[in-house]
Amino acid sequence: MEGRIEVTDLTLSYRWKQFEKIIFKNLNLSIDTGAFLTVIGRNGSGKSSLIKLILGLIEPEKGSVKINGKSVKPGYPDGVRQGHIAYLSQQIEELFYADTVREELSYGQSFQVNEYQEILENLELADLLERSIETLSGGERQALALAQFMSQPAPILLLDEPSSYLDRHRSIILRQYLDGMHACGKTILHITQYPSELSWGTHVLDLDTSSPSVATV
Amino acid sequence: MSLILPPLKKVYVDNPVFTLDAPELELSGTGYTCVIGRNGSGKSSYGEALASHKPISENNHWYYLPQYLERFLFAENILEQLTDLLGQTVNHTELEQLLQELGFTDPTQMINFPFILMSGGERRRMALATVSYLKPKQIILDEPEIGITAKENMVLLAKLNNLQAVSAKVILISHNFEFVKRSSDLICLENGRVAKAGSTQDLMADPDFNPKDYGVRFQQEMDKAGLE
Repeated sequence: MEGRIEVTDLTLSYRWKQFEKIIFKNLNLSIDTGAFLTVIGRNGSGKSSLIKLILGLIEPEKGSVKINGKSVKPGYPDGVRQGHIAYLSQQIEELFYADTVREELSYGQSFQVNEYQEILENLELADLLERSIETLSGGERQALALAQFMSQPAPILLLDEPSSYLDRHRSIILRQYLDGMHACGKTILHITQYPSELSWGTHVLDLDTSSPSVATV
Repeated sequence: MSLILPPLKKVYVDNPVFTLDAPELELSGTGYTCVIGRNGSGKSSYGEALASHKPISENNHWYYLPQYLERFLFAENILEQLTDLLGQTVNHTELEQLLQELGFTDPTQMINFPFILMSGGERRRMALATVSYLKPKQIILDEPEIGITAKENMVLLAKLNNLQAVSAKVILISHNFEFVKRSSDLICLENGRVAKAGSTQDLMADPDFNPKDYGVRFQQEMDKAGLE
């Protein structure tokens, strides 16, 4: 189960009208298989952009991202489609397509409600299966996205502020899940704003520094 | 002056198993009030119901800033946003100072900087700056700390206290113990009902009260040793 990520000489900026925002300039990173990397940095430092570059959702101006030695092509995220990467987005408001929780869990993927009963019970979603997505609270929505995420067997896990809306109980479930995945040798990239979550990982990447690099915790 | 909140009752057609049923509450109102509860306990529903409650006078209207703050931004940048909302010229100096307080390092540029180029956290802080500039008399903030850093959270806390200092009434929905412990009053929700309400100090001193039962998260708790 390989999950190595290499970022080489990456430059990225966003432009709109006369405005420009530089995100990365010649960023170089190497994330080994099995690393549990916590990514921190102020708002706008490029945390979510880094994940999107790894997924291929955005195209860098310069440089490359490689997964297990293979270049990531911009466009539809091949890594997710081929099951190499599982991605948990920060955006929980417009993340769902179906009407009910049950439909959403079955939508377009192999999630079988019976098979994942334990996940649903741990995240306290088992009693919400017939609920309309529209009626879910922020925390319940994030738990639903987390359940979908947890059902994917990918060797690389990308999580963008996964605990923002979660209450204490569900945060602990997330923590235990990530500990378990780390013990299985998966590569984890976890963006957080919570200082207390820094200790979860083995490595840290602080995007606020002038030359960001992966350091051990 | 105490804070009196009206009784709130609401049924939800698309979620018949949930009903919001809160009695009238009289709280000290000496600081901000925190609403706590597990995911799905009705915190946002309480805030929304309070904001849509018909006020006795316009001054009693509660202004609700939603959980998905990005929804609140409709203009191209904060200057346009405030000009549209106020229908009058915006004081640049005051706005720049506000943006600086909220952690923007180049406030002069940021007053014209398009929301579309901002990260999620930056947009959330822009929404908070908008509300702070409007100086509402009564405001409900629904988990405003999501997506912003610990340092900016402390700024937010200071802003809440500033609002309180200018006689604004503030209700904060939060899971964060750092915010909860600094509040003057607590409303604890369980499945749409008020399980406990009163002075934060009194509740914290009550051996039968544990904020963890209401989903509150502690800064250091998620360390390995704190796992249960």
